[in-house]
Amino acid sequence: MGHRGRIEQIWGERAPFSPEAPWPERVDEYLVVPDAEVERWVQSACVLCSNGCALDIAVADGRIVGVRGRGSDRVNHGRLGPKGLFGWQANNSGDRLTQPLVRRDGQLQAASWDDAMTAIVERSRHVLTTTGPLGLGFYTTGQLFLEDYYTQALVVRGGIGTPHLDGNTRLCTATAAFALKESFGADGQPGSIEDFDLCDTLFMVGHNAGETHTVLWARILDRLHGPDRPKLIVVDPRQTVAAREADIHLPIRNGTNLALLNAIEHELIEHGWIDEQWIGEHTVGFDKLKEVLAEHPVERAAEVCGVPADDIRAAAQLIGQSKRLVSTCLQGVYQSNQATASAVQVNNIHLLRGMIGKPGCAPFQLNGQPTAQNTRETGANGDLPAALNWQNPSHVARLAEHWNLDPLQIPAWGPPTHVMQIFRYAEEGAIEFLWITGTNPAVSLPELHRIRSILEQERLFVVVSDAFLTETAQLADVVLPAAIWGEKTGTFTNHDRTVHLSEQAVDPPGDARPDMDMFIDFARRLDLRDTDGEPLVKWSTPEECFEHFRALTKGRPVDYTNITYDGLRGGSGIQWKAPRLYTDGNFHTESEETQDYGHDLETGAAFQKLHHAELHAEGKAILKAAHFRPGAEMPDDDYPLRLSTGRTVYHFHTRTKTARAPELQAAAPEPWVELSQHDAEELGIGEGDLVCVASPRGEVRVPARISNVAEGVVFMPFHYGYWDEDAGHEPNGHARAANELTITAWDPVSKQPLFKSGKVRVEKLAEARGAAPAPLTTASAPAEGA
Amino acid sequence: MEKPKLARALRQLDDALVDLADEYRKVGERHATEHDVFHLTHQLAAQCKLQAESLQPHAERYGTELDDPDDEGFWDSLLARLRRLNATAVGRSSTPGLLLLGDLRRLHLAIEETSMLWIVIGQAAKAVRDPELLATVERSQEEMTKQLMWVTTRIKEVAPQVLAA
Repeated sequence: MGHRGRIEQIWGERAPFSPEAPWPERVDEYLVVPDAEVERWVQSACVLCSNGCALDIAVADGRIVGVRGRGSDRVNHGRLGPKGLFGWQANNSGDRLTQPLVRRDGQLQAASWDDAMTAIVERSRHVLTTTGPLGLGFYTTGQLFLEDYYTQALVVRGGIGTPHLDGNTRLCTATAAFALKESFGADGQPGSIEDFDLCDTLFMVGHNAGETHTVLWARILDRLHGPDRPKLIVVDPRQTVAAREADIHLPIRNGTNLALLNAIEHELIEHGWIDEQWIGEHTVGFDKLKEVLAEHPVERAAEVCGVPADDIRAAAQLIGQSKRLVSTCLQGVYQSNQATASAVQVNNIHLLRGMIGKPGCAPFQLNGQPTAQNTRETGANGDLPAALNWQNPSHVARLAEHWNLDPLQIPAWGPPTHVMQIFRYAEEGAIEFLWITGTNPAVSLPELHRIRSILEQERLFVVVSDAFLTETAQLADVVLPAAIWGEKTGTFTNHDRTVHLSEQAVDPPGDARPDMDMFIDFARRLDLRDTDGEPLVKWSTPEECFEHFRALTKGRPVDYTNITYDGLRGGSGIQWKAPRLYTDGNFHTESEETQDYGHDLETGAAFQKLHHAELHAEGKAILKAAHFRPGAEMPDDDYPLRLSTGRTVYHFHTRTKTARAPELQAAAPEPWVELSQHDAEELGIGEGDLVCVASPRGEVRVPARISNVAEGVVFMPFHYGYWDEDAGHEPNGHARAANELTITAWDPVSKQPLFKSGKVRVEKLAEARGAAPAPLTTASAPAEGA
Repeated sequence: MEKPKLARALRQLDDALVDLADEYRKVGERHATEHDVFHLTHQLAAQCKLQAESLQPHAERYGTELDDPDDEGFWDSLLARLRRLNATAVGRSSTPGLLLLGDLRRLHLAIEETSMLWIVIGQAAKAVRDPELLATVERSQEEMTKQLMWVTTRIKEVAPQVLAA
């Protein structure tokens, strides 16, 4: 198949297989030079979705010239998706940042590393002296390696001693982490990717797998097209590629997941499709759950969700009569109303049926990127490293001992601050120094005019380390050029706990440096020291850093002791700990061991040790219940439609990399908005018409695609910002970023922003000059007859 | 079955719930730039209102009537708008943190007071052997416990930034 073909044929050719046989190997490759010119192949894996497909990087003449899937790897069996095949070209892009920039006389100007770091250190020292550690904030990414994050966690939490460190993983996988902690007592995916091969029923909730996890979807598709096809139930307001393959598609209104899931559990209990003995032996909370579910019959859900009651019953029956059930959740759950409460209900379904820790049986609280799991595990976002519990003094002491610090130095008086709160502190002037690493809040956070105005404040000193001059970097006081994937060595962990080693293949461009090195340099210049007066950071290489982290995880729920660089090198991906977790039905819910004492799902109130002990979980999983309630902002006369933002298969995050890969950029060059046929007719809007989408926060102008999105729901891809337009970091006259519209609101437990909520209205501005620039291959395909 | 003193206690609880709902809304509006506080206080105000409504049938049985909670009138809604606008206007100054801490502490006291009134009614319900009232009490007490935990959680988050920075 030609390279262009893999833009059209996103999942490649079918290789149907049955549960008895392994998924057939197929090695995907994209090279921009003839094979013979490749000088060496360097072991790595893809960082552009949480499947984390193993690949080798082709190098010629000191440059990356292509990639090839690793046939022997357990995750992808050689396959790569379009982003994996083409996305690496961003590394070679001519507009990489190659030297530090410092703002002088209002302009960002080239500077030496020494000048840039001196500016950063002087300002940090000043804030530390005048305000203290709480005046500094750090917003990191989901795109670094484990070693970068762990170094950052040590320097920020241990060295500086501020709780204000979060990752952009808060926007995509925070709810996954919290759902796992609430139900099972600790982070860590319970299942193995082989469970997709072995299941007889697959329940996908808010997971547009065909676009977000293309190689995982290819695997599922090969099972769906093979003998002994599993049943497929898809919950999604859009007609995604998965929905088209489904036995039952439930196109619910966005914001109503909990109503639907409660009704499904209600049915499971009513029909006795539950394993009462297993529930008795391995769970607590069943009576309370039953009490809450009693108020959520199918008819009520049908009305709230806008789908037929019989379809919900049929879905519950398939789930209830399955023998091996795999479920998946993604942003349709995590970024939607009652996010954690809903994700937890998917865990509950597995607990009610005793379907966890067994072959073919697992809930997958999926992630966006393979490198996202590591922000969680290393303590660079809402947790302490190694699944340690910030509320447990003996856990804090263990961390302090490992870091050779006084336990009081570690900010454990409250949960690590989430990004929306960090920006709020910056807004009110409480945070005066903000270091943003490899992420682009000026496009990715909700309500962009607010975010831009916070970053633009004179009194806020903003440092941005990135590979490119993003919208956010353009607002910085100091910009540091970062080495990225392929230009440094490190590890990362995919959504079934498979750890890959990614070796340095080429030198970084110009003076760009790995983020780990930047933080070590920062700590050295700030003279951060441990209790013995020795330098705080004890390592200088990624492998030394990994070993330090690995030692900390020993015996913890997130346990890396079976992984070493030597074990990974020359081999391929290895899962940490075991193929499956919880095979003995024992969970991490002993009060002394647990990572989190849990939360009230409706208010986010944090439980303390006492409340946790009262549950008497002691190794049993926790069934948690919550009543459905409508979202904070419901459609009304002025704004009658529901907004949902999301992804397209060809782009990653804010297109910083993917727009610099010509094939990917050409496949989805401009933003669009999707309307249902019904709503389009009501509004007199046709395919390709230029429309204004307005919310109480702002408005954008984009062409309309009439797609199979649910009636009353409006969908926009969130990838498109302004760096490749004239104004650079903000709208030039007409805005186009979906986050101009989104509401500043977040889930009370996971603090994940609710991008898939909020109200909008749509008005036609001008006649079409052709079809909307939306891909035809995916959920954004035109509706039939439109 | 008329019980004038129990009826009076029910009216007292009803008043407390209506006041608490009002307090929640005011705190939310005063701190409209703290988006989680804004959304949750309105959610919890609605919860208090539902609790007050759940008292109605019991009050009738014990021989009293509860005030109909007024819908938000013109002046109330105008004042609410002003509080929100003021919150936006001072949102960039460093005082809102301290104000928030104070408001949350006062809210904590109001929740405690209402919670205690539920305990009082619960004790009476046991003594008069009224399982229906007791069921109402138990459900509401559980909600009040969560409300107290929420406000405590939020105060613990706010305090360090306001006082130590």
